[in-house]
Amino acid sequence: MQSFELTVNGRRHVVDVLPDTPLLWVLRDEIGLTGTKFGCGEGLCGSCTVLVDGEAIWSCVTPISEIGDAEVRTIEGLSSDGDHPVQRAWLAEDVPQCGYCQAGQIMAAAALLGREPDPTDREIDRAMRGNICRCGTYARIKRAVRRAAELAQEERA
Amino acid sequence: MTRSGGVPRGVSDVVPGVVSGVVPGGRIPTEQANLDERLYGEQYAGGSDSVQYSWDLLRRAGATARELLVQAASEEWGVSGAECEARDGRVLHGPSGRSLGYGPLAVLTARGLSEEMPDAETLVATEPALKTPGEYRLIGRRTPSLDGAEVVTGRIRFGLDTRVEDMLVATVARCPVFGGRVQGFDAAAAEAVPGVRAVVEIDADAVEDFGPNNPKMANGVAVVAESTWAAMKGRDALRIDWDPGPGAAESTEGFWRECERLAGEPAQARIRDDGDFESAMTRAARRVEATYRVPYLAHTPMEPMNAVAHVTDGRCDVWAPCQNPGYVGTAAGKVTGLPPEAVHVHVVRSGGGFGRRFYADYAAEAVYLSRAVGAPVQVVWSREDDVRHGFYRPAGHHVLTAGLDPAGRPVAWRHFLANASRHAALGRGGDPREAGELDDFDFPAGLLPNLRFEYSQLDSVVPRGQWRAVEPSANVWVIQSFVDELAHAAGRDPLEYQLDLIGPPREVPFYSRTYSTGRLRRVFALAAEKAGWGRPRAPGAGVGIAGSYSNSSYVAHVVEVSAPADGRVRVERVVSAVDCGMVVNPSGAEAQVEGCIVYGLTAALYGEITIREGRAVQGNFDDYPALRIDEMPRVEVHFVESDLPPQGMGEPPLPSLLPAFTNALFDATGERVRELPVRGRGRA
Repeated sequence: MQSFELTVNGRRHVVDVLPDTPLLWVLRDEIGLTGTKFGCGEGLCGSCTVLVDGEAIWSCVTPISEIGDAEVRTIEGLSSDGDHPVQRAWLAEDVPQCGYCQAGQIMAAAALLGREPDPTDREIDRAMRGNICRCGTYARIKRAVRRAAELAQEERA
Repeated sequence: MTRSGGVPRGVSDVVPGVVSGVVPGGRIPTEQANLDERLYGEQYAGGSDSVQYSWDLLRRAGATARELLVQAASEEWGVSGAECEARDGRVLHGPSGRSLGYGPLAVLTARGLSEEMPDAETLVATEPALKTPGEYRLIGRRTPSLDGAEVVTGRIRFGLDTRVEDMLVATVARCPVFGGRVQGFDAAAAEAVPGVRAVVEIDADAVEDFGPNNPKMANGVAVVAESTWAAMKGRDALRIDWDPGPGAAESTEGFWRECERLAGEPAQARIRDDGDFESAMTRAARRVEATYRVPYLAHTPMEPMNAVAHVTDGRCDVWAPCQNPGYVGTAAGKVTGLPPEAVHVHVVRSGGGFGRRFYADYAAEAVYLSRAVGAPVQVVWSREDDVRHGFYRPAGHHVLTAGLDPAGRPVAWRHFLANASRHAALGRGGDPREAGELDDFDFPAGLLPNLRFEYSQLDSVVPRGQWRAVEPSANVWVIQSFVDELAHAAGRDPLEYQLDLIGPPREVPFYSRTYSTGRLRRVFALAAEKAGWGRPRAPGAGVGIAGSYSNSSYVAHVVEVSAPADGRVRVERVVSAVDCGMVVNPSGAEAQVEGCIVYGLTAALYGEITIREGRAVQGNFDDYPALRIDEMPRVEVHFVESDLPPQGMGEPPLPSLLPAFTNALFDATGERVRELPVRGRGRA
């Protein structure tokens, strides 16, 4: 066991875990943030997507030892009261069905809009193709990402 | 309270719509009911019947509540109930302009304001006046999901998010060969992993059977630890000697060889025999025969199987994301020996089910382990566990034979199926007449005079079970592909040929009821019209159509594909026509169509579990892929306007999507797909 200090959603945490423990299980089992989901354990489905210094990463294949001083952001910390443009757009398009993959989808979309405020359909496909949804909400996700881009532009204007 | 297991999506959104369709206005919170079948009746979620089942019940409940509220208001004001109106969360008295909210009125009602006021039971018995479709305010209106805000903020709790004080986490190494058992194991390395508390053998063979249709868990060895990661590492460190048993001889190749052999022999069971198939064939101008194969399919819901159990002296609590809480309760009773009243099943939200969560094996593991270690235990399955230890949609070998008259119309039809049925796997009897996955009422039963359905079964250790539209997902693909083949053999337009085969509008027997060929014709015609059927196609482009009646709804799809000679097949557009009776919530109903399209395309393009040495070969989304967002076609959904009671939508849109897709591939390439999945066979 080893002690690690990390910043999640702006708060410092100290955890005592095996150094190869994936960030996913640190978030879920040690810090109690269960919004980030386990889907495949191999970086194949995107359910565990979180932001590390603004970049989308798969927390199920990222050991805690690689996080260092980076800022981790999870679905619980994307906004203070659920009003991030991506979250608002997701509600407006009535995206979720079972909802299990949606935290990962939302974090991947937030990362995309963070680096590309006005993505093309192709860019949306490329950024979101790592995230599987078995309920089949893809058409609504595409609409929601475009709507989120518009909402974010309105906010800036 | 929503009755069904915690899986059906949008059911909790439909309930308030239906209730408030009669109790107008106001927000009606819903809550998932825990297991109590004495109170709620059967609580499974399967067969797409949640909405169908609840429709009358909920409308009457709403109407009864409305009458009680109006009664309470009229008593309070001393006016006639006939002068009062319930609307937007209040009861209004027009002549005086007075109004009272449902909240205070409910309190008055509950206090039993007047002894003359009838109670709810009396009101239900007196048939409260139900709203007519013209009076509906929420039914038919696009209503967003009630729990959306919980989902997009990550606050919503799924099964895997269940936390119980002092809970341990377990992973299980199950015998990789189906039906095998543990011979011996070395736990030392696993026990040396920091955080591992115990290594426990699961001797499922020693547990009493859970009963028909409720399969037990597999034999295996569990690692119980303080954290998920420690449990996973501990499991990796186990050394287990397996006794694979006779299942080790099974393979996909062997399965198909055995199916071929059965296809060459007289069938074991005749499921249906109308007219005189043989003599009609001798009179036919032309004979067409084709063999189709469908593979085993896993479900891969995004949330892997999991459950928490806490067994103490005389009590068992289970928190299970499940479709069938009754089975979980039975399983927990068998594992613990506790009576039903000591077993408490808490139904928690599921991250998808698709039929996998119809079974209770994963919950039974949690109960078994909690009892063994004397602490609350959460069992966590990996994705590989999910893919390799499923209850698969049965594979099957179908031979279809038709005799055509000189005009190309079928005058004789035979459908033969050989497979290992799910019924036999689930302990529902070995009689092939009962076990078959071919039904008396499969298409085109009742439409052709000389028709024969036959079935032969073989034994297998491979677990089989429910899936999204389990039988139609296979049979409709085969049948609607074959109809398309016949249309081409006859040189006719596939749509016209389909409509000709369905015939004029009438009622055709279907189990104990009937279905309407007129409604089936209408969805074919609507999908074709909206898709622009018959337009010229670009080179490399193809269009296919197929439709079906299943789970009480009528659905047809037109699928457009592009299949460039040098590239991968792409599904460009799907136009769907649906007659599910009244649409309670168009957003939810469309979502089910979109979901079935994605689930069906995934199966058609990629889905296949192969068996080697008695084990499932695939393990994760790399070798058991799912459709991704960049493969998503444009989807257009059209509903037939209807005042008929609403029917299920979770499954009916799925079956005909597959043949519409492969018929489009034929149109584009001239190659007929007779074996799924498409990928790895030809150009896809």
